[in-house]
This record gives sequence, structure tokens and C-alpha cells, in this order.
Amino acid sequence: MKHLLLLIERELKLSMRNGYIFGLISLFSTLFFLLSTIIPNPNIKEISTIFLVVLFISNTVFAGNIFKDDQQDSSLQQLVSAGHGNMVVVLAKFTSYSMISLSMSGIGTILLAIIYKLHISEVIFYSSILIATSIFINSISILSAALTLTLKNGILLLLIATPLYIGFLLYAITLISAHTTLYSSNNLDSISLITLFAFCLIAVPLAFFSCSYIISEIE
Amino acid sequence: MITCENLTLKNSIFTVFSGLSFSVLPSSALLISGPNGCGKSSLLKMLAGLIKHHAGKIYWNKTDITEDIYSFQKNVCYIGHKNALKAELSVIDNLKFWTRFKGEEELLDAAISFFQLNKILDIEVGLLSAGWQRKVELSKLLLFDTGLWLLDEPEQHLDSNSLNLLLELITTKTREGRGVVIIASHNPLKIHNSHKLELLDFKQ
Repeated sequence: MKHLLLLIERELKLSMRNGYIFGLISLFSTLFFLLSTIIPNPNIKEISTIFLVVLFISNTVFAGNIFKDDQQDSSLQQLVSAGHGNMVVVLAKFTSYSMISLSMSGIGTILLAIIYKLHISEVIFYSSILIATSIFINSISILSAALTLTLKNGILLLLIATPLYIGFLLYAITLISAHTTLYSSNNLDSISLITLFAFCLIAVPLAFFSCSYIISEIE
Repeated sequence: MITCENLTLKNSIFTVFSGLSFSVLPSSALLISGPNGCGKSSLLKMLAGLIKHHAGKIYWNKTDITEDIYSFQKNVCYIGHKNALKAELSVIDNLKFWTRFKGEEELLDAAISFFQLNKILDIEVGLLSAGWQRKVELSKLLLFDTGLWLLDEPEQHLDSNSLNLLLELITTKTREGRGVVIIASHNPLKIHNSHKLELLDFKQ
């Protein structure tokens, strides 16, 4: 646990220093602003969709760097050979990058709640979708980042991750659409959210174990 | 003591080496030399448990390292030919991280003073010369104080004074019987109680 916290602290510190957080927030804000201006007076459904799409694009752009920096300066080798196991390194990477994405989702939900004067049940619904999407996107991102290390190119990021990203994204957008229709019910919302988090429950351990294996195979 | 029996390493195209067997006794050093591509660095990574051997066994104090690789790795200090330092962080931030992650807090001052890093502690690693960066990296040898040092071209970028410091450190390690040192290098380093292993280029 001590080593995990130490690695998370290091990841966050490095993300601040090397401009990862600044780059991610800048890209996110720019895209969000540009897409929002295309639609005049966007409603809650449209703005949430834009938010999810922008979250997806910004994570895709930055996903390749999750392990690459540490591999290039051989820090990854020393971290892995320190005797604490690969999983600690993968878990720290996942946690720190999820913290960044979740912070952005959290800020997004608060802004939506203020702008659209959402009821508390609405806030819970939208924040659940944003949290689940962030977790799923980060799982796939970290897996793709590890895969790109082994094949030394980014093509797998497009071939494997993008369909998964887009599939999940479309599902999340469909949930928001269904939620905003007159026929939506609390039961339907609950089932939809449970399904969404079930995907995350599959994606997170799959990403951890796959990443851990991939990193152990890197020469 | 580290013992290797019939080690084989293959890459996707050819066999890098095969049937490699040797032992390095406590309090001694092994200098690995050979032409480019003969597998010196790969052998060190294999000994550090970073890459898997396709055949053969590696024993650390008579125990197969694959039985509990993480426990074995706690005894290893692997210094590759690149410096595992973050250019964006200061020297002290880098050292503090590694001290807390693998080393011992009480050894930090000794590591800093041995390589005379006091004057550069607050400077970002990326702003230092290659020689100073190497000295910061090598100071991990003192921070970790493990029983097995695996060094891949540790002398690169060092001036003659720094090289003498490194040789003194390795000699002290072996002379005081505090572990095993294995070095891959093209240069003939003068180290107390050292033996040589020359790898051949199988491709030729």
C-alpha cells in the first residue's frame, strides 16, 4: 500500500510537471467550447453527449504516454524490478490517470447541475454515467498504452481500443437519450446504470491483469 | 552467490546465446564483455528477472529465482545503460522517491555525499550534464544496498575522478564481502577479485 501511494504521488507530480494535466485540460476545454458553440442553446442531453465525446477524444490523444515515458528512460524496468510486482505499477498508473479523468467528470457534473438547475436524482444519474465512462475509458486506455509498448507502434490503439471506446460511448449516449424521453422510468435508469457499471467491473480487472502480463513480457 | 545453468536466450529471429553456465561467488565481481549484440545487456536483464530465459536455471543463494521472483528482486539493484531518472524532477526529488520506493532513508545522506551531489540537489535532472546524471543514477547503488548489483556500462559519461569513485565503491562492496557485482562493459575495468566472461556473437 505504501509503495502504491508513493507511485500515485509520483505520477500526479510528473503529470503536473510534464504538462500532461495542463494539456489534457486545455484540449478538453478547447474541444468542449468548439463543439458547444456548434449547437445553439444545447439542452442537457446534447451537452452531456458533447462532454462524453470530448472526454473520449482527450483520453485517446494522451493514452499513448501512460507507460511510454517510463519505458524510454528505463524507469519502468527499475520500477518493475524493485520487487513489488507489476500490478503495483499498473494500479498506480490506472489510479492516478483515473483521478485526473474523474476530477474532470466531477467538475463537469457540477457545472451541468448549476447551469441546468438539476434535481439531486438527475445529478446522481449524470455523474454515474460520467464516472462509469471515465473508468471504462481509463481501463481501455491503460491496456492500449501497454500494448503499444510491445508492438512499438500505436496502430493497436486504433484497432482494439477505438471500437471498444466507441461502443461504450454510444451505449452511454443512448442511456442519456432514453433518460430524457418521457417514457423513462427510475427502474429503467437503475438497470441501465447497473449494466454500465457491470461493463466497468469486467473492464477494470481485465485491463489490470492484461497490463501486468504485457509489462512482464517487455524486454 | 548467483549460479546460472545452461541459460538460453532467443529473440524473434535467432538464438542470442545458449548453454551459458557460470557462478559468481560472494565477494567477487564478474565483468561481461563481448561484441555489440552478443547479449550482454539481455543477460543482465535476465539476471534481474526482467526478461524470461527460454531454457536453463538461475539460482540466487541456491534458490531458483523463479520460485519467488519478487523476493529475489528485493536483493537486486539493476542499473541499465539509461538513467532511470525523471528529467522534470530535481535530483533530490528523484533520490527521495527511489529511497522511499526501494532504498533505506538512513542511506540517503551517504549516497549524496559519496558522489558529491550536494551542490546539485535542487537542480532538475534534465539540466545536468550526462556525467552528473550518471552519478545521480549510480548513487542508487548506495541507496538500495542490495546483495546483487547488475550494472550495464556503468562507466559511461564518467570522468576519471568519478570513474575512480565508482571503482572504489565496487571494490569496497566485494572486499567487504557485502555481495556480488556483475558488470557488462566494453572497457577493461580494474576491479578487486573480478573474473571475466566473454560472450561470443552467435550470429557469426
